[in-house]
Amino acid sequence: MRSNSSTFDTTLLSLIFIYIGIGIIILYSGTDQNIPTLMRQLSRLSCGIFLMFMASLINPRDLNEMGTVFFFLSIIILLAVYLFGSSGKGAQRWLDIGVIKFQPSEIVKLTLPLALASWLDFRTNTFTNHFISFSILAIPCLLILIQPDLGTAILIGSTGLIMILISGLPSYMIAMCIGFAITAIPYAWFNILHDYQKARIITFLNPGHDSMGAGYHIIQSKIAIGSGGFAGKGWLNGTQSHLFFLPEHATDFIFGIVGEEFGFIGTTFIILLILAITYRVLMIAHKIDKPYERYVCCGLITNFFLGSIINIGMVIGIFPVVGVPLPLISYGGTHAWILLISLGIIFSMIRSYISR
Amino acid sequence: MFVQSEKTQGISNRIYTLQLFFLVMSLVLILQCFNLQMINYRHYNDLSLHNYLKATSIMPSRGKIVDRNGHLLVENKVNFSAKVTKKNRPLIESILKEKTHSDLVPLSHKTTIKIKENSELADKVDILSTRQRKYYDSKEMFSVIGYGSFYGQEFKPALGIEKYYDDILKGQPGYDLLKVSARGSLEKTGKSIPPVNGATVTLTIDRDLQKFVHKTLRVSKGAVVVMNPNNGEVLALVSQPSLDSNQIPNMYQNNNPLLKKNQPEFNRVISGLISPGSTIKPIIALSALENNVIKPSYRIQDHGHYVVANHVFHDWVPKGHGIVDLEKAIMVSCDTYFYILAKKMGINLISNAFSEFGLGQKTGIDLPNESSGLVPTPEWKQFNRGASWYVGDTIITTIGQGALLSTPIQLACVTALISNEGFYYVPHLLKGTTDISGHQHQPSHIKKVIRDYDPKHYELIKRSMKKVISDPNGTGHYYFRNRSYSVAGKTGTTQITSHHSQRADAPIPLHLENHSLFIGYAPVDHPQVIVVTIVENSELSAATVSRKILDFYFKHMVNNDEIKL
Repeated sequence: MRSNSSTFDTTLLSLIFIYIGIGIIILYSGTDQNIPTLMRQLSRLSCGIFLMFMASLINPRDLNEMGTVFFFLSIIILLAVYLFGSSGKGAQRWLDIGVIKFQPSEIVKLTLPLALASWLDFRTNTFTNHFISFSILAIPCLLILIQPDLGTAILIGSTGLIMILISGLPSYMIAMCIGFAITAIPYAWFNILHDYQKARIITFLNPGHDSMGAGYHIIQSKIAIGSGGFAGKGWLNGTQSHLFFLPEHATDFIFGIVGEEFGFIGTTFIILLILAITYRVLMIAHKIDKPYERYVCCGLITNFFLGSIINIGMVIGIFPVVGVPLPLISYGGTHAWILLISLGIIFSMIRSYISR
Repeated sequence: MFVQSEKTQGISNRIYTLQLFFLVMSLVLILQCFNLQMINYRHYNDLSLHNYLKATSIMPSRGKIVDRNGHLLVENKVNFSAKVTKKNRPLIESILKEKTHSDLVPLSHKTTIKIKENSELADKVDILSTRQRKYYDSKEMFSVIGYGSFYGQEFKPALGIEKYYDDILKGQPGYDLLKVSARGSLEKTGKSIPPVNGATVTLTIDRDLQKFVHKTLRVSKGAVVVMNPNNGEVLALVSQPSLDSNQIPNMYQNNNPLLKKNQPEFNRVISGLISPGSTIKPIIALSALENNVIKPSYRIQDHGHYVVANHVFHDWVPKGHGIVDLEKAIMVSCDTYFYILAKKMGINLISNAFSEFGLGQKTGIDLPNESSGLVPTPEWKQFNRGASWYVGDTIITTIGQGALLSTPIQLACVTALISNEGFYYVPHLLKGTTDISGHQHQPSHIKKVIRDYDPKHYELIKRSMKKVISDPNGTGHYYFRNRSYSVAGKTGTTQITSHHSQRADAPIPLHLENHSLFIGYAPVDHPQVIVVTIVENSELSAATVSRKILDFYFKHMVNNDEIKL
């Protein structure tokens, strides 16, 4: 039934290319019109798009069988970063394997949903199995949290949680989860979160508190967004960004440029575009009759959607500053590749359903 | 059709829930964007402008001051100097064609232009410009103009017209809008608001008269005010000792002892408190008539003294003046006549009269630091000296001694009131302003003070004051011999009462020696000029000074300033 000739969902593919194209326009402004930086990102994106096409050729059945491998791969690279990682900005997030330097937690964004999907497809409805589902999710999340990388931990944790919920969970398990969350959050606050992470959360709740310190990011990004008004100040005309009041405006805070230069029209358009990509995948997921493929599609697209929402929410001040990039738009290599590979895998999962 | 199993149907329902969840999250984000970008746009836009736009001020040039005839009294100058460094010293020496050792050398305007036009030189030589306020006739004009000085770009007015009309003179600073980055770099936006230069202030002062008065009042301490009674314009205002407006900032820097001695802040015309002495007698007489205390024909027999409560008060002429009526009382300045009036009137009526004539109150002249003087009352004495009021106090108050204190400018108002027979204009120095576009503005409204007394009473007082000069027995006759114009006036001799009370038997220290006063107006029929002169501790008589001033006025100024009827 499956043909090797590439059949893509053209709607999804077009949405993705529109999104990437707009991303490049925004990033050109975000890099302050620095052509070499932009070229580096362009080559990464081209490479990522190639990887996306390659990933779309993978047979879903093969991936399903590799679930255990993905789980242990996740654990090993996270332990590796703990043992050999180099730190950037006070956190051990980077792993240098000679040729390339990358963020392992980004890879886990891909491998963990795949591992979890295999397990959810395999497991039967018993208490022990449900407990194992949570363990598969919890162990890597804790390892990421102690790196420390709160943003990615939250992202992967909530993605996994949504996958478990989609797969079906007895009501007593849901009750236990809520009970666990209520006890675990205060524990995490006092024992796991670093002071700067707590400061960010406190600052989020009260940004005026320390405007030159942790609150500075939020205040300046809100000024950038708000001063854009309805139609924005125009491409490349942002004062908040180009006069450097908005920090990290090529990476985590790039959405500030969208708000400042393209206004409410721009921000709404980007949010709706992200929602459209997500909806397109989920609409196809309804038609899929194999649980594993559904879990993978839901997991990977949830990852994309929540990553975007957490980033935008952080920039517009309704989420703490946790250091999560805006997928496909923020400057950076690893996250773009992982995301494009994820999209490639989604293409592989839905291939046989779009032709019908 | 493909039939979904029960398991996949459950999953599908949960995916719908997820879609709804995602939709709600997206809407929350859009709502927050709407909140920031649509509802609070103004707020955040202001914050954004505030972030990157910085205004630097461009100072306006300060207004000039000219006299009533347009003679320049005050203007601005810019001085240039070059910063000398090790590198550019030979270059600067070659430009100036002389050796220099200081770090800052003054440049002439010619040299400055030469350097600025040559871009090669301009790069190597840092030129500093300093602003300076230039005062002309700075010693003679000091009592009027005051002074001020530049601290960098900003002018700080200290005294006189400079201070009083600072708002008119200073103009409005302009702004240059600069773009600032968070990293501190600056860039011009090309947007700017030009400064509005200060307006030119035209004074009522006549420069030549002022200079003449200053020259004539060659005493260590004294004051003269010359005023036009028909409009309140002050033609000359001199307080001695005076300082040089151009020099004072330097004097402060060098801690010059003259500053302490001469007290530049102390302008005798408006804040010098003196006992008005006999110059106050016309007011007493007028008030006595007005309150029906005496009839115009009231006369006394003067034996040279007057006894009240076992205390003898002497007239300035020991033998007395014989039979004295009101006219003669003023003409010869008979003290006894006024002692009797004092007894008849009582202190309340007398202090009321003083207050009605503006004593004890600021006149409202447009100069800073005016004093209000003092009109004593029994309550005042009880409160301030802790003693009861005696008839003796009333007696000496009536001849302008004791605690009564007035300023020369108040006496000028009194004189104007009498000469105009019932009104005077508040004295002022501002004739008009001319803004930079050439529009002239007159001072909005000159306050007119009216005291509607019986014209016959005014006439009588004026006749008496005329006789002071014209009658051979008048106290001012000697000083105005052979004059070419008619004058009315009143002389006075007094002691400056200091803060500590003096005992009658103690020797009089030099600074409490007799002072001489003169108030007068001319011509008698249609007064156009008022002179009030105070000379402290000097041989020179106030009447002599006033005569010279009036001579000058009628010789040089009568043609410029036609009589206004």
